[in-house]
Amino acid sequence: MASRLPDPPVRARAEARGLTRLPRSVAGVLGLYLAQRLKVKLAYRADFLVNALGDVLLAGVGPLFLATLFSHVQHLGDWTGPEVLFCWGFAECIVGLFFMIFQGLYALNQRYILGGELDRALLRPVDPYLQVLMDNVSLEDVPIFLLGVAVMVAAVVWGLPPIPPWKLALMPLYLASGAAVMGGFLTAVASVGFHLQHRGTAVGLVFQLATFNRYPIDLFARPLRWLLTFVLPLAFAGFYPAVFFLDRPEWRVYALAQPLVGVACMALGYAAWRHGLERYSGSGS
Amino acid sequence: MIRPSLAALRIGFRQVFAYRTEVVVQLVSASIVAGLNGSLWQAAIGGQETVAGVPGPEMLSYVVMAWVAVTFFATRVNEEIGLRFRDGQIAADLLRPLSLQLNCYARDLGRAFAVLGLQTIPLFAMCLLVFPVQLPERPSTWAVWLLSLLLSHLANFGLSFAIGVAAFRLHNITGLTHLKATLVSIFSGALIPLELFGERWQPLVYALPFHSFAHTPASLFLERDVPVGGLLAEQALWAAALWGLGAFAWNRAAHAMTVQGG
Amino acid sequence: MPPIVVEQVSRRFRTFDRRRGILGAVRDLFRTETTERVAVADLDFRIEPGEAVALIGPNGAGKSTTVKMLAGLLKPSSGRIRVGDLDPWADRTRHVRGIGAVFGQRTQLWWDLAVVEALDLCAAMFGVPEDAYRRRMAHFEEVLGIGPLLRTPVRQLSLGERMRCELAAALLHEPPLLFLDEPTIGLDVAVKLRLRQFLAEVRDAGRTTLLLTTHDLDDVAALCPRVLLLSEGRLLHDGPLPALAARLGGRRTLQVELRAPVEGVDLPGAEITSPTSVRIPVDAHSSVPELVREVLARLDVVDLRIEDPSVEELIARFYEERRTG
Repeated sequence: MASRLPDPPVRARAEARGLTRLPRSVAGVLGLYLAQRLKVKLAYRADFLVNALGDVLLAGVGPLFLATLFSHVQHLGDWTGPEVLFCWGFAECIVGLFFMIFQGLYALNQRYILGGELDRALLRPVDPYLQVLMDNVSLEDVPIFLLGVAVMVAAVVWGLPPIPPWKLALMPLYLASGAAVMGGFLTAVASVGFHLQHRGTAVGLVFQLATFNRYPIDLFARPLRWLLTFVLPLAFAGFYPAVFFLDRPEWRVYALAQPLVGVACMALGYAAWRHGLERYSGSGS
Repeated sequence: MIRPSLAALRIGFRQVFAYRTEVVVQLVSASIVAGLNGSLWQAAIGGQETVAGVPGPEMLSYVVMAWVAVTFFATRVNEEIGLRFRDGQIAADLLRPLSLQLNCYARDLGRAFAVLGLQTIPLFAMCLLVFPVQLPERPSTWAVWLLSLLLSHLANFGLSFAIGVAAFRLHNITGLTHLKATLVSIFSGALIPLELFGERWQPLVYALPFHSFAHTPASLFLERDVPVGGLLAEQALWAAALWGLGAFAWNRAAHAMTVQGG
Repeated sequence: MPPIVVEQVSRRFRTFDRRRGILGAVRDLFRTETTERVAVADLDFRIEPGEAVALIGPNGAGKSTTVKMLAGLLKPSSGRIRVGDLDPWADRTRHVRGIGAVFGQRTQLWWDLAVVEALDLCAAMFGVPEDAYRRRMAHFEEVLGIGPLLRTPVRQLSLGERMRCELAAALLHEPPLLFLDEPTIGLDVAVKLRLRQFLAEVRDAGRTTLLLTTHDLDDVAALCPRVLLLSEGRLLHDGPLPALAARLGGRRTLQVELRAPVEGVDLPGAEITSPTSVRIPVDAHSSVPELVREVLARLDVVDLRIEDPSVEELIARFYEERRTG
């Protein structure tokens, strides 16, 4: 996930055009922000494609493993191949979404706090949290998201029981809420960076732990299941939203709790952010 | 040549201790992956006697041991060398008494020894506690296994070094690094046991060097019905070939740098 | 335009001391030792709408802390700041709508966007109405000459070009308050003059209060009738620049050029600055005409002139004393 781009090709100059109409609402401003960043990213097409390809290849080892496994094995615990594959794809989509939206938080300590860009953001009448996120919307992770979609589609084709349309309509909500769980967590941890330093490793480890959420969680030991459901609700960023779309009524409770958990995580994360921001300008260092 | 090598070895060894937190982090990370893979496989084996012709318990042990091998031979040499090219520090390396390749290898070997004690063995011990890993019956197997791990490390080093040197031409080796990581993931046996690939793919799998990185040490550890000497020799050959590749690439780069001032 | 009121404002920083050794590191986890540093103490001043004020002082005097508090980036440890009805820190979002800021060493724009895209974003964020936006852009193109720069990515601008764009961005929403932090640093003379002229026009238009933080006293002399001198967190002077020179112990001197070298001059305070030059402080004597009479009587004079105290030198000396003293 590169943070500094090399010099842009000359094309970028010629394509810059002023707007004919200014957005009036917050959503409009956000949209404008995003559009500007997209334009910049698209100017680096070649680099972008190469990196994207590399990322997808590496990520593709996962489904490759599952595919080869299921050519020799019928069930993984209680679950069929298509079900497991679907869970994996769903979790991958969430990861892609998460990185697309929340990438900026990784740069918070270095660029924003130490580098002074947070002060800059505070001088604008837009929520600095939103600015940090929007400034760093990561297009590089769209291929990861697309890989997840492809794997889900493959699972459906392979042999998943059909998903009722009303559930399909809810898929964006479930994907978003899964990303919100991870985003809320990262926000909370990054907010500690307002007055501490080396938490980057902790985050990396926790997200490594989160890779368990790509698979049905009852395949794993009970303590781990408990940890990922109630302590660090990372299972809500992968398995639980996914299982909503599978025909498994015994998991319904968790699946229904999903949107609430997403909102709660995001709210807690944002609260930690506000607290950190106040301390940043309050006591300073 | 011996003394500078030993010095480099010691440096590599000690550097690991300087980054204690990173060691712990990597150990935790490796344990998580081991736990994940092991659990998945336990569930997969669940009902069946054999998977792809391999008895269940042996397959589980294989998966664990293959991953243990990966944590040992994994290296960052390609990034480090690439960085030296980008920084320009590489010019200084031309003047050293010891060839860059040998120097780097000695350091990485030192690092590997430290990793053996701080990561590999603790990881192995933890896996033993959690999963029913089949231990060798013959005492000589332990020595064979360690030798095999060292050869894996050497071979992986050779390839990584060559990739690092490619930074001289390519400037950005992330694509190449990703590619190598992907190929190692797929073909080393660590994430996907090679037996799963089926008949058609076996020729390709065994033509590539990667199977000797993880599949071979794991197979030797499990005392499978395989020619021990033959496998070790194969590992040595690949290690030599990859070392040669790195040496060739470095020679070309060094030549270009001194002649053209590249 | 709102007035700025600063009442008995202080700002203290807690710095965390790291203890030595491993045992110290462990102890640090449980209870941190802190020292308190006073960045700014008992500041008290009032800036009326439309004023142009300079904030000067040696490095570490508390200038940027003061500006940050006025901008709402930092909360005062004690005391009160009001900009109009608003508390800059507590009402930050509203307060910030009325501020434009230009930093000499950092950009308020986005590196990889084109200038026009960055300005569009600024306008959108500050809620500038469309017709006003168009009007002001036309004005800036004419007065700041940013027309040809619009399509260039910000990162490719030269420093002078960038500063012009920063000014446009800062004034796009017609803020009643404009902060300028080292705006002319690193610029060549021609560009500096043009920028100063632009700022003077902004000042004279009377719709903006200017606060200029700078080390460049020519900027101060050209733009700001009022100077706030900070040192070690305290406000030492609040008034015009020439008055400051007097306070710093500036003295008028009589500079005398002689026809031939002398060894000594029997006049109070006389200083031989070169074989044929003598400098004599004026106020050590009863009056200027008398001093001149004495000098002409005793010395073989080729040329003489009265020199006013150089503000630069005085301030430089003042900064130097603070640094070493």
